[in-house]
Amino acid sequence: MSSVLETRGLTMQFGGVTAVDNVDFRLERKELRCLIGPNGAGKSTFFKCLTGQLKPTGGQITIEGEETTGWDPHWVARLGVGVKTQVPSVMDGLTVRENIWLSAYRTHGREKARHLADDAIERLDLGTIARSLVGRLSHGERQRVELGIVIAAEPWLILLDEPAAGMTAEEVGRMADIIAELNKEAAIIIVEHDMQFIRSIARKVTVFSQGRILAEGDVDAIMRDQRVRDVYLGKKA
Amino acid sequence: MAGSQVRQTAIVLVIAVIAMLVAPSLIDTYTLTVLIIYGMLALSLGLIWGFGGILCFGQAAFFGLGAYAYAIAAINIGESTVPFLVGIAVPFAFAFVLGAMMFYGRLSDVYLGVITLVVTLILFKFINSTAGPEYVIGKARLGGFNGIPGFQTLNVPGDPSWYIYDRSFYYFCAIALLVVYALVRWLLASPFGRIAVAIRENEQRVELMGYDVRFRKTVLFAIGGAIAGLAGTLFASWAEIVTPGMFSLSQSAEIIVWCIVGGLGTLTGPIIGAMILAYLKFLLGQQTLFDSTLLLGLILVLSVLFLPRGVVPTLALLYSRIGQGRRRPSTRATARRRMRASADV
Repeated sequence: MSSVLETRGLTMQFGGVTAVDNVDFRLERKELRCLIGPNGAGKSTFFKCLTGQLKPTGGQITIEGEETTGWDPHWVARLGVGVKTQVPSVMDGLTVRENIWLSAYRTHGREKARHLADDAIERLDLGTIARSLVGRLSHGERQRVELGIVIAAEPWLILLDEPAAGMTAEEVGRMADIIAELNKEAAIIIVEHDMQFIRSIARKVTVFSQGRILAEGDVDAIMRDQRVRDVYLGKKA
Repeated sequence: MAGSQVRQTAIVLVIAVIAMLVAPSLIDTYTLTVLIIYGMLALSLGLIWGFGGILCFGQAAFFGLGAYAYAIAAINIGESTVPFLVGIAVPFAFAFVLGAMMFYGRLSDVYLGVITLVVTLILFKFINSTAGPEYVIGKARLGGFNGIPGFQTLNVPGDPSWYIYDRSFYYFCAIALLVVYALVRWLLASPFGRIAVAIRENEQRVELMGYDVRFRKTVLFAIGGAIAGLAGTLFASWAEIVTPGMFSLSQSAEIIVWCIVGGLGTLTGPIIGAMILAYLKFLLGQQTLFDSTLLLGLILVLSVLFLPRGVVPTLALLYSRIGQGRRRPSTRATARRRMRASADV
């Protein structure tokens, strides 16, 4: 399998604090990988370095053969990378349809955008609220709208930061199905805390601790790893 | 443009045309003309602030630049057609360069306000200090505090002796405002406009979609500068003199007050706010009992306290509620329509 995303020695420092410390990471085509770790482990900072929201202080990021270290987020997105942030990042003053259409319009132009927006709305079951202003929706609905924004652009690499956060059990189940569906076409990285959710979707997991990769491998093997249990679940677990 | 937006724009234009024809029987055209010009100036800020989320404290800079560019070009050329275009192009280019420096420099919010304010002050100070004979552009002396008088005012293209003045100038300005309004509505309904609104709502998300936010903000800022420049060009022809006062802080502050009182996030709000408040100031200027600025300040405070969304959105909301009461529906769709109605006028 060929690698679509690779980091070599990726480092991000804020003053004297090293949030991401010399991380080597590799993601294969159409792979689904979960990043886990305790709070402050550096997962979200690593994620933001990949999307261009933060400029790394050291190391290298390569996406589909292009070195993207220090690129602005819009250039990273134009490579075909879709990003869902931790807190739903949507346009409250626009309708659900407009939110999704604008994403598809950037990649596919006016006519195809209409079909892609319709398709995303149908896949995410947003039809009944398609004309509602996003600012009036519940948290779970906003999460789905943001996912709609991501998938309408038809990315081949999707980065999802806590996609199941704040959702009901039913919504989490539906989100797992959607992610499995998306994974047929795209490689996906998910930053997540919900272990049950991770078990339901992931085969391979990367564990972050103190800005470094502590362990990497099959989800069940990782859960049995004593080092992971110590740092992530607590020593008594 | 969607069908409802076309209908809404058509209704606004029809009402505006009727008002344009009726107004001269109530107020003299000389005063009406400057009210229209101020309306256009307010529209320029209403566009970039209300729809692009860019609070510019220096909209007067583009207004003054438009006026000065027109006056200087008119003195040198002697006919108004090219100077008219120069009066729009110079503020556009200036706003484009200034905007690029600010947005590509990742300045936002309060810093953007401070920079635009400082630029206006610099221009004000600079123009004020150009009284000496060395400050000449072609045949035009900048004139310092006294400004530039005696330039060719607006004429029919190709015939410098056929002036557009008095009632014809009033109609010219009114039609210009209607055309600019229609163009801005079209712009906002286009993908460019929707992306501008999306940037106002969530800049980070728009960037993550792959749009170059900095470039789009720069273009919108420059369009706002061009509209303010057009207003300045018309003002120069109306006043037949341009002075450094056009760059003043009080002028900049007034434009912001017009937009707040009229209603941000709408196009008609800033226009109506500007016309009402400028006329009020004109009426109050004829008495010496108290300073008109005090009353304008009071209106601003009362407006923020009791009509925080502004006059026009509040009226649109009331109208929508009355309509809803007649039709008696209580669906989510109606609530949504009401909210959109107040934002789209």
